[in-house]
Amino acid sequence: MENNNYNGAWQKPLGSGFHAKSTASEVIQGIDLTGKVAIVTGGYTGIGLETTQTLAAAGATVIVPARSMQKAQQNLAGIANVELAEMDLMDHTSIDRFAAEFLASGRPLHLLINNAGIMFVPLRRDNRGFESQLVTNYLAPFQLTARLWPALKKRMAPE
Amino acid sequence: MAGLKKANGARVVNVSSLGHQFAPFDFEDPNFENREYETLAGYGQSKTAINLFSLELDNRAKDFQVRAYSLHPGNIMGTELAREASPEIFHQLGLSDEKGDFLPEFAASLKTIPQGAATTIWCATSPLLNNLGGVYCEDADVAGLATAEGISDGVKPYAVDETNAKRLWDLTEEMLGITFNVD
Repeated sequence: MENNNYNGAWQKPLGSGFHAKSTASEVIQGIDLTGKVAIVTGGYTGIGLETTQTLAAAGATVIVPARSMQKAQQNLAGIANVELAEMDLMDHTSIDRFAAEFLASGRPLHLLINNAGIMFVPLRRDNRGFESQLVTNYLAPFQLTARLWPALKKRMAPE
Repeated sequence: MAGLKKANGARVVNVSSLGHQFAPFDFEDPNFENREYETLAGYGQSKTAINLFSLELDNRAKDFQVRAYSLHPGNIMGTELAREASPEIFHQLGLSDEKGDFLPEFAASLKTIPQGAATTIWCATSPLLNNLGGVYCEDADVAGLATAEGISDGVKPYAVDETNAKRLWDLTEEMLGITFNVD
């Protein structure tokens, strides 16, 4: 077997037993995430909110970075094991700030879900001149992952 | 070592889209400086890019028991994602009629929000993926390669191409002015 998925070597269905209509709570059945830490970008609306709820219900602590803290607070009210922090994917300095704060907490990171995205918007650019769909859907997740790498790697430390 | 494997490594899950099939990554002009802006092409290349990132990240990170995945959540009703999309775009994509009503076969393929989050959750937690990464998934399973012309299920070869993946990583570091050393 190949050692990586370059050129799609591993792109074959595994026969997971799930299908197009399977739900988030069905696929997580029997999985315990107690003690795990997750970050879910865009985790306060749409499928991101569903992702946050599902991971938290399985026992994970879920950190939701939010551009609009007020809206996030409203949407996440009453869900246990959820924390909020400010971050705007269109502002690269806020990504660095969010990541630095997380790293300073000393916690390992078990799951990073780069969920936030935008679609079919008119031409907009960030203050570096980068196009907004490229920024939100790709460049920002790359930067966030890079900054959080020490915490992703850290979960290997003995628990 | 068996103990380590059982400990469930960390995972990075990147929500991509079937929309990666709208466009490969444009290495010559990623920021639309020398071509007219086309929002479908912009969306498509951004989702192609996150696929290529997942592929390359997985290959670099797997020695540290960190795996990466990308996925298409499905076409979902009731999210804010398409709030700025004009109705013409859906007609242009062949998904709705001239009045803006979705075609029956597209309407039948739409997922609810709990269905739409399933593939993300599967990528984040399935034990079937403990020793597998860098894959593009859909419908809570690994997807096949999309080798036919046009839009179909699966992942386009250009979005899992080794050369594109390595080239994009270097370009991204240059664009962002950061170094992502996976070590």
